[in-house]
Amino acid sequence: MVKYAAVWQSPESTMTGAREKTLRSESGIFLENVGFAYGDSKVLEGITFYVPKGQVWALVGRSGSGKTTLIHIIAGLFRPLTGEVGISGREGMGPGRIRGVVFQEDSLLGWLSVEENVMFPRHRRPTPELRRTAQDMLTAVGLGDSLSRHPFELSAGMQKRLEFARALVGDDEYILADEPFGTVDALTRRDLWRLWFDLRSQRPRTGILATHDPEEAVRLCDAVIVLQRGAPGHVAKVFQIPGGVHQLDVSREGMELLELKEEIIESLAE
Amino acid sequence: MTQSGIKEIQVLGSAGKRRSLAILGVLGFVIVWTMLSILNVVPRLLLPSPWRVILAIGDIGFALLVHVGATVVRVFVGFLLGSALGVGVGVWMQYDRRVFALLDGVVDTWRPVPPVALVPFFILWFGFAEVGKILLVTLGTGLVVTVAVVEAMERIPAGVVRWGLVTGVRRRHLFRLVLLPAAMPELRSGFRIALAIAVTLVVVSEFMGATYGLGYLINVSKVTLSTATILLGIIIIGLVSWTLDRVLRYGFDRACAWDIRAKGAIR
Repeated sequence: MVKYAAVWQSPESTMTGAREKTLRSESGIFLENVGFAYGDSKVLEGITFYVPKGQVWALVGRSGSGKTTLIHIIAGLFRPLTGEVGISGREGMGPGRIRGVVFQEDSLLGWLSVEENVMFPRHRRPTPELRRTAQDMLTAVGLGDSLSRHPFELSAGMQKRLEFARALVGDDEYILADEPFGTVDALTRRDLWRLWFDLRSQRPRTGILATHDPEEAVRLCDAVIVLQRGAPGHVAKVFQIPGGVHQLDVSREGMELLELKEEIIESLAE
Repeated sequence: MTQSGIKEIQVLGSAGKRRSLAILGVLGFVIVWTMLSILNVVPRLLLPSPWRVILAIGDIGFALLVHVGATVVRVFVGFLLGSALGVGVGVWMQYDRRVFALLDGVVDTWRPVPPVALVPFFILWFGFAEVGKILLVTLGTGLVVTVAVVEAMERIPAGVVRWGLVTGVRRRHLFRLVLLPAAMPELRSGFRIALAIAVTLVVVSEFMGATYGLGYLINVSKVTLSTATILLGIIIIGLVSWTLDRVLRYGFDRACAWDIRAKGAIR
C-alpha cells in the first residue's frame, strides 16, 4: 500500500485561461509535456501527443521505456511530475476518470464471480439494469456461460476477455490497455484481436494500446507512438497508419503496413 | 492467479487411508499413554491412566461444565475483542502512514514480550476481576492480529488495488470492498496463532486468580495432588482449542474458498 500514498490530489491548474479553453473544447486524450520520475530516476520526459476522439493509438516501446508508467498516468493512478493530461477536455482529476483500463498485471478480484467482477463496485446490490448490461457485455466477449464462475476457473484467454468486459461495461468511451495480448498464445491472440475490433465497432472508443509488438500496433490501431527508451523515455516518432480508423480489420495487410512495421522496428532500434 | 504448486510434490495416499491414519494418530497416543500408566513405567500418581481421568469427570460432576463454560466464554470474548482491535488498528496503520509511524515502534517492541509477563500488573490493576482477564487476552491477541493485518495488506497484488482505484471507489470504501477481502487468505495463519495465544492467556490468568475456569481447576488440583483432574483439565483445554480452531478454519475456508481452490491445496 505504501506505493499508493501519493494518490492523486487535484493539482492546481497552472494553465492560462486561453489554453484551458482550448483543452476544454477538445475531446480525446491530450498529453502536454508530461514527465515522470520514480524518486531520482527520470523515466519519462516531454511526452506530448493528442489522441482524437474515436481513435486508438498504439504506444510502442521496448520494455523499460515507460509504457506502463504512462498508462498509469493517463488512468490517473500516478500524478505526472510535469505537464498536463487532459481527458475529454478536462484536466487534472484522480483515478476513476477512466474505468476502461486493462492492466498488464493480475488485477481480477478473485473472491468475486465473473458477473460480480463486471458489476464491481455495485456488485452487492446491482440494479436489474446493471445486471442486464453486465450480462450483455459478458455475452459479447464470449463469457455468457461463465457468469457464476470465479476468475481462477478461467483460462488465461478467458481472463483477458473478462478484463475487457469489466473495463468496457460502463458508458466510458475510453480504453487504456497495457500489453493485453502479451500473455496468451498466438491463436488466442487472434481471437482477442477480433474481440478488440468487435468492441470498437459496437461503439467508438478512444484510447491507447501499449504493446511491444509492432505488428499488433499496425494492425489494431490508427496511429503508432514510438516511445524511445533511454534516460528518460520520450516520444521518438508518431506514425499515422494509412486508412486508419476506416480500415478496421484483423486481416489488414499490404506492403504499406509491412513497410510501416519495418520503419517502427528501425526507430525502436535507434 | 498464482498456483502454490505444493500439491505437485505431496505424497497423497487414498482419502480413506488418510482418514484412518488421522484416527490412528490419536488412538496411538492414548495407547502409549495407557501402557505407560498400566505397566507402571511411570508411577500412577505422576501419570494417571485414561480410565482414572474419565472417573475424574464423575467426581467433579456438574461443576466441570461451569469451568469449561467460563474458560470458553473468556477465550471467545477476549479473542473477538482482540481481533476487532487488531483489524481496526492494522487497517488504520495502513490507511494513514502517520498512524503507522506512530504505532509501528510500539507494536514491534511489545510483540516479542510474552503477554504472560504482564499478568502481575493486570492483577495489581484489576485484582481478580473479569475485566483484567479479558483485557489481557484482548491485548495479547490484538498485537498478533495487528501485525498480521499490516503484513497481509502489503502482500495484496498492486493490480488489484489499482483496479479498485480505477473504478472510482473512494479510498475509505476501498478497504471494505477490495483490501480486506484480498488480504483475507493471508490473515488465516495470523488469526489461528492469535486464537492459540488467547487460550494460553485465559488459562494463565485463571491460574493467577479465579473462582471458575479450567485454569482454576488445574491450579486447585495441584494443591490436593489430584493428578487425574489436572490431566482432565489439560485434555479439555486441548479439545476446546481444537474445536475453536476448527470453527475458525471452517470460517476461513468458506470465506477464502476462491484462494484455496486457486492454489489447489489439499485440505
